[in-house]
Amino acid sequence: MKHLFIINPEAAGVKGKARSISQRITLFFQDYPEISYYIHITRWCRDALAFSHHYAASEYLEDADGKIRIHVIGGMGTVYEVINGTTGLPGVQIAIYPYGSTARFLKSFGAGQVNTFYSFYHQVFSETIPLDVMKCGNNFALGLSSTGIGSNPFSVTKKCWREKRLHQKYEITIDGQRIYEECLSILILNAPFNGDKMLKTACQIQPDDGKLDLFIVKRLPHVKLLSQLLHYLLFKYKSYPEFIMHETGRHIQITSKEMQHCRIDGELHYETTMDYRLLPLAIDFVNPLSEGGPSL
Amino acid sequence: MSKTTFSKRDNYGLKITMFVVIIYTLLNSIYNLLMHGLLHFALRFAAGIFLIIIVRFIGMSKSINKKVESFLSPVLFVAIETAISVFLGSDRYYFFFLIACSVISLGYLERMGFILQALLVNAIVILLFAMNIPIMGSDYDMVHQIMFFLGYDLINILLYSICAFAVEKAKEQEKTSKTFNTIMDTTPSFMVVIDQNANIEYMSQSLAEWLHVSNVSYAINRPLLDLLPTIEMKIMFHEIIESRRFVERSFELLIDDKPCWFMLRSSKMSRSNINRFFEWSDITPIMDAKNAAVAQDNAKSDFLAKMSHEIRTPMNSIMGMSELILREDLSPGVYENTTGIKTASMNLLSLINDILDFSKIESGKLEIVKTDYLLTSLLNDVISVIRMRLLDQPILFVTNIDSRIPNALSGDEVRIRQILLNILSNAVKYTDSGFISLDVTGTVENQTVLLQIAVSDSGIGIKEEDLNKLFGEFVQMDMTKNHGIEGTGLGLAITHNLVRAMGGNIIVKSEYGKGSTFTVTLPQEIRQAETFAFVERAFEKQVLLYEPRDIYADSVKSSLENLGVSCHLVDSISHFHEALEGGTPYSFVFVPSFLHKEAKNAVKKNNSPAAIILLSNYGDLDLSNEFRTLAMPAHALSIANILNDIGQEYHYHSNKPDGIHFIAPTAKILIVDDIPTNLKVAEGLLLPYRMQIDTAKNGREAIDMITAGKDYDLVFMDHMMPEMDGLEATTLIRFTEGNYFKEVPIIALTANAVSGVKEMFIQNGMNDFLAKPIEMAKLNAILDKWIPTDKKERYTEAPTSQAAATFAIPGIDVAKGILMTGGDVDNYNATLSVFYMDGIHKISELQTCLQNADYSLFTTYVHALKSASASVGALEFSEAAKALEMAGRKEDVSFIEKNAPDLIFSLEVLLGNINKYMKTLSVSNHTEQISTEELRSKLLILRDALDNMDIGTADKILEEIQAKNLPEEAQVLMDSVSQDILIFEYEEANKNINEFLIRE
Repeated sequence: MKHLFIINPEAAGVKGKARSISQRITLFFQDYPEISYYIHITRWCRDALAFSHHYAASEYLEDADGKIRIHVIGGMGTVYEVINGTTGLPGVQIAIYPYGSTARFLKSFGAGQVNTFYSFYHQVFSETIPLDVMKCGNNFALGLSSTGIGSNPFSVTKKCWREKRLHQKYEITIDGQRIYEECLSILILNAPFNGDKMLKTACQIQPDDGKLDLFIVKRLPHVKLLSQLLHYLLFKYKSYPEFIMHETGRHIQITSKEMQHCRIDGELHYETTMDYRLLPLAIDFVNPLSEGGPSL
Repeated sequence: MSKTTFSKRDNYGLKITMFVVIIYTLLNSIYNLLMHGLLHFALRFAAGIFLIIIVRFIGMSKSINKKVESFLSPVLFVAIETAISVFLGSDRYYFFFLIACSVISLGYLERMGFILQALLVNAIVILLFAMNIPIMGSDYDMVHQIMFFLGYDLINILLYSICAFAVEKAKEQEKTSKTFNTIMDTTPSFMVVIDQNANIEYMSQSLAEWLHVSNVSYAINRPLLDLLPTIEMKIMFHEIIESRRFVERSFELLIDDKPCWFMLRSSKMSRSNINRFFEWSDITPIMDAKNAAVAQDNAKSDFLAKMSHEIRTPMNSIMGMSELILREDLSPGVYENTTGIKTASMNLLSLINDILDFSKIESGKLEIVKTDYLLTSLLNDVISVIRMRLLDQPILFVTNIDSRIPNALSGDEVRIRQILLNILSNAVKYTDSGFISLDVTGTVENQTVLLQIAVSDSGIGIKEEDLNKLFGEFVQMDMTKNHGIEGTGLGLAITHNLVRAMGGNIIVKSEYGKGSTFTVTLPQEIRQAETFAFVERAFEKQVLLYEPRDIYADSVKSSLENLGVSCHLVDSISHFHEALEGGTPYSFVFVPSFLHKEAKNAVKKNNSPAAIILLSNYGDLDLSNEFRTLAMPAHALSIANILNDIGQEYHYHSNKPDGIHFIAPTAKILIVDDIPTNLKVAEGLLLPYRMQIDTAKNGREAIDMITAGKDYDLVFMDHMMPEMDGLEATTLIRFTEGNYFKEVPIIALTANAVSGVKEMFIQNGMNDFLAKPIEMAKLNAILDKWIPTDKKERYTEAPTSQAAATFAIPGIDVAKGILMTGGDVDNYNATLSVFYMDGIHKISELQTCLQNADYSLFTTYVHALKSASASVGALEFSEAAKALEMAGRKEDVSFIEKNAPDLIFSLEVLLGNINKYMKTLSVSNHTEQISTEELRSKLLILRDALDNMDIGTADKILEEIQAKNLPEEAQVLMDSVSQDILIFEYEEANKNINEFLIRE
């Protein structure tokens, strides 16, 4: 097996440390000269996407049992790039380090044990578990997709201010069934959502449960809205649970006559129709906390 | 659409004004509150608010344009400030304030506005001066204030210059931006500019639509790769970004499962490697058109290839039949007509071959197949062919071949032969008189020799303006002058392509009206260092050459000198005598054959020991019994053979069976050669001896045939052959168990008749050797020596109808029938068999026609029966059929109705008799029962042979099968297959064979 380290020098927690991380990796592998590895520091947007695809799909793997473990050292955006570059390619395993927004995602594998994910030893030698992937239009995501005011607060708020309305009309279908039309925000989750904005159920979602979780923040009456304005402005939706709808399914489609602002694993997209499909157990994820992992 | 758009609202002056007014109001108010009390503060604050409102009003007003704003805002500002300053007392920074207002005006980038603003402010200041208001306070006297004022105006001039410059630049930028925006909005090409992070900076409207982005602004600042539809495209763009250079490439993309083609160009925009401009456009219609054109072109080539192939089959039979007819005793008229048919067929076949080759070249199916070959053999073949073509033409054909060129080479011999024949044939075509020369030289480098083959002629030449078109397709130059010259005009195009495919080159030099020289250079691999020709002890040999024809004289002299032999050339009989009398001990005297008497007398008179060698042209008097002859064009090898006393005088044979004193009908001969033409030539030469001739295409096939127990009396074995050469085959034969294999005479056939070669062949187990081209006299001598005496019979004229008297078929003149079918009983039997099969069908067809009163079809059938029955000797029946055919043509229904039943009855009787005869034939001939396995394997070979149009093999297998006693079903099959082959229905024959094989 070969190991490819992708370091995003602009990611939160990595900025200014790319070189030292790279040195640490080199130092680590001095003890394992038999392991083949390569470090790539990204230089521009989506560099990781194309590079990981190129590396994983090339003949480099011919002498490595056809397997490659890609270590992502960056935020969810970098994970998003790697997932988009490698989903569907055989023999690819993905190891994620808790830098930037990935920490929240990794918490779901063991709260309080996230630091284990920093360990090169664990990330190199641990077993993998299969995880679901969410296909969003032409792109793939591991964590979540947010549509509406929560996706791009500044821009959407500006738009709402200009249009003098907070809500947008959507046609949402889940597994072929149309369920709602007008709402403030929509969240589609494949992995747990650990923020304090959504319902508790959002924190219990598993990335290998074979389903997508849909949370719709419905339109609030004006009186309610005024009373909850502060919460509303801070997107603390759990303050009015009766206006949050939760559904699960494998195929979700959100259509709107107006442009939708969607943030998929931290990356912003604009579409009028977003199609989400679950790809069950589509990637191999390195889980240092899984049973049978390496012992130190 | 671009990220940046320009409009009235984009003026920075207003923003600057508002900003300055607010800041000034705040600072001034606070300052006055702290320093001067509430009144000052209130006034300053009120003035500030007033100004803010005014500026805001100006900004919002649609009736006030930017130019008016540019002087109105600062002037109002100045007016209010001045009024307040006057009201509250002096302002010592008054002129700095005015400069600030000029800067505000500058922000609008309006020259006229700036000037107006300056003039109005000047007017205010002059008014203040006129009213003697000390605006800067008592600290400054009037002179100082005027100096400040002048300074202010100087700064205004400077600011105006900046304003003018900035306005020009802004206009340029605006114009560029507008152009850029227009391009981005209207171009059908997909354009995008990415920044140093690979995020989109600009994007064309067309690209936005193609990517389904409803508004370009939504794409701005997003990663380009996110918007691309497929991972392949993302990878490609990644590669381009990484490439750091200008990129131009086409790519294919599946859109809605339809392949679409795009042409993409990308270049760097700045020193950053990432910041790039991409432009790509849909070239699918162009590619579709191109693919359609290519498909059409391929279809055309395929069609040509198929048609050519289809035409070749009947063409071969036309040529074969013509050949058969020419072997008969013919009246001069029929002979001439048949010769015409044969010649025309050969020309047509040659054209078809050209078309076939060209279609192969066009469709890219032309393959260069490397084999080992001998240059001597190749050049001999080519020279022979051209020499024959020049018969009866007043053209001297000369060759100059460098004897030092390596002889054993590796390359595509067949294609090189084709190239040489094409160029030489062209020379023959376009030369009426004079000469044609073939010069071959070579440059050796490592294991490669670069052959330089030059063909010169004294023909009509080519105009300079036509030289460039020469290697084009279907080109014939100077059509008016060359009217009547046959050809497709493909020859040189094919040659050009072949030469290029072999890594060579072809150039042409020509002088219109004087002649042309085509020079081909071809790299060939050297297998052995052995040279083309070599003369033993060359320095000891001296040649006296008496040749009055300059072209021949030069050629022979240079060849001799090239071989290291001393040559004295004389051009008159007196000089010839002088040379002989001079006492030089000449070893050889070369003279033209027409001077043989003079030469003989002179040599005799001078008691010279020199051997006389006649330089002989085809058609010259045959003096080979008295003198040794050197066929012209002489070349290094043929001269070396003479000088080495190899004994192979190169005398090109005529087809007359002169000198044949015996025949050997029971002798079995095997000829082994890889070139079908050589096999045909050898077969043709052996024909007068009436021997049983088999042929094989290589050494392995020869071994199979020899060891199969056919007991050949003599084997002619070619030296160089693919798969297994003659030497290896001979060695294996000699090592085979059994006395026969040790003793069977094997004669080497070779063009490599240099010194020592005979010994080499004998050392390798061969008994003798015969040089190519085969000399009839030598062949006769070889046969006389090696054919067993008991198999030789005295030569007599060929019987007209062999064995005609040995059997009789009622209603048929067998002797006539045999004569009509080529004089061969087997052939006659085969024809009879076909006639029988066809007759069986015809009986029912004739009856059906009569029942349906279809007399037109009836006439057609009896016409066919008339000629078919005549060809087997059923003359009486043929006459009856003829009468009915005539009646049919005259629509004499009553005659037909009266006589047709008799004809059908006669046919039934005739067929009955033929059937009886064929049964007796079958019983007498087919003594050996064929096994199922043998039948099956032979049918498979037959099927392959038919697939490959190898009719020689097919005939041979058919003959072998029919020589055996066949089961009834197999006999039916073979009858049917024979008939199919006879009428060239090879596919039908194969279909029947396949059905039989499946059944069995």
